[in-house]
Amino acid sequence: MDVLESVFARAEGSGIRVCFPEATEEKILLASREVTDKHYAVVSLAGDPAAIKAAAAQYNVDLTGIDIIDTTDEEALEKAAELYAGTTTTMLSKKAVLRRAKADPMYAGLMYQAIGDVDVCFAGLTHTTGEVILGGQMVIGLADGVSVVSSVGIFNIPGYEGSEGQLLAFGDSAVNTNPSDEDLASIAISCCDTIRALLGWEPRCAMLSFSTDGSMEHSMVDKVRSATKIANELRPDLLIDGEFQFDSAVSPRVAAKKVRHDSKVAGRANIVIWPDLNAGNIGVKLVQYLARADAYGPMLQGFRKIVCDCSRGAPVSELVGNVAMSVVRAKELKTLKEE
Amino acid sequence: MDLYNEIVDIIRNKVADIRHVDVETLDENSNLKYDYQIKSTEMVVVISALEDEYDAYIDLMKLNKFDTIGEIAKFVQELLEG
Repeated sequence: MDVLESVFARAEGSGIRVCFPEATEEKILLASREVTDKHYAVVSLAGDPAAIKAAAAQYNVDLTGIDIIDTTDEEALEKAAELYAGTTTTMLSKKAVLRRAKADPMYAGLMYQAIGDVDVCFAGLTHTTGEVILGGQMVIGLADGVSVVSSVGIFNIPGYEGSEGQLLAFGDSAVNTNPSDEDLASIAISCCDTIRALLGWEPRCAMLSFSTDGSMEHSMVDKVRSATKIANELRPDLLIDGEFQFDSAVSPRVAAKKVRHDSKVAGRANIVIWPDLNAGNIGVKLVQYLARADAYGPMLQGFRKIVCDCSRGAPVSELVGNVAMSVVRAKELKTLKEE
Repeated sequence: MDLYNEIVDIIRNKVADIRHVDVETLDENSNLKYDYQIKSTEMVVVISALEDEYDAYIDLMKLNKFDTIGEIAKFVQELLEG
């Protein structure tokens, strides 16, 4: 079973509530229909009900079984903002969140997510990634112990024989341009938590550099070394190790030659952390183009709840896949909270 | 006090709270990104205070390009004065 098949199977019948605030978009309406028909999630469309129904009629999408959150209902927004302001994690005042919720259904969706009426907020077709991240930071906030929002992705690399077969997870190739050591530690921790939730793996996370285990001295290597130390102090329960060159991270043969300390990660890493966005962006494209790999994601991570950003050019099938991945993550998050 | 200086004072006080520094160390030339490492999540708190004070909507995306308290205050002043 490939990654997506496994994710779809786990999403089915989840009961996770997903809010789409860009609800008059054709692709969102089609994805909502498919997600509802396949029982991956309980869908709520947020916006002006008349506009949503008109768009659904225009695109010939049946809204049976799909909820509509009326963001023109000022009384309901006022009540939700009141509840939002009463939550302990709020960063915005009641007035500030209400102002935004009235102006933009994405903020209304995030507000309803913050108070627990929905589990996932899914945007990105008419909002930029920056706007989705900012909205998530403002209304949902960051998870405990996380200092930055970041992204994680998964490669499916034909012919690669790694510790998880053809799969390898990576972060962050989309959000943080030049993360500090603390940020890099936070990215590694978020990647481990996301991948464990999504794929059920025991994370073995390698902090990548152009040095392996002290083979080079440079301030860029120092940053990765320091990040590894911070991550280990913050989350001793996770296997995060470095600094490693890519080959030392994923090849047992190279690791045996180059890594001088006892490591459960070296040579067996299933998650690799790029030291900055230059390396991340170039690395992902090299693997995609030269190794003809599929890359799933990038998925945003680090928020207190699951906020999903999709690409503006994404086809409906990709949206449905992203929804299913978000649903699985939200389901795991709920389970963890209940424990 | 004129509007610009009033906004500068609100930002100074909020940043002093967030970074636990003496408010007198902050002025309009203080660079929030580089001198005080204020992150976007922390800017949310600053902006929320300004929005509540002036009952206005401030687009944080547009604010991201400014670094100093003075630049931010000028942007907010122009926004409020329409």
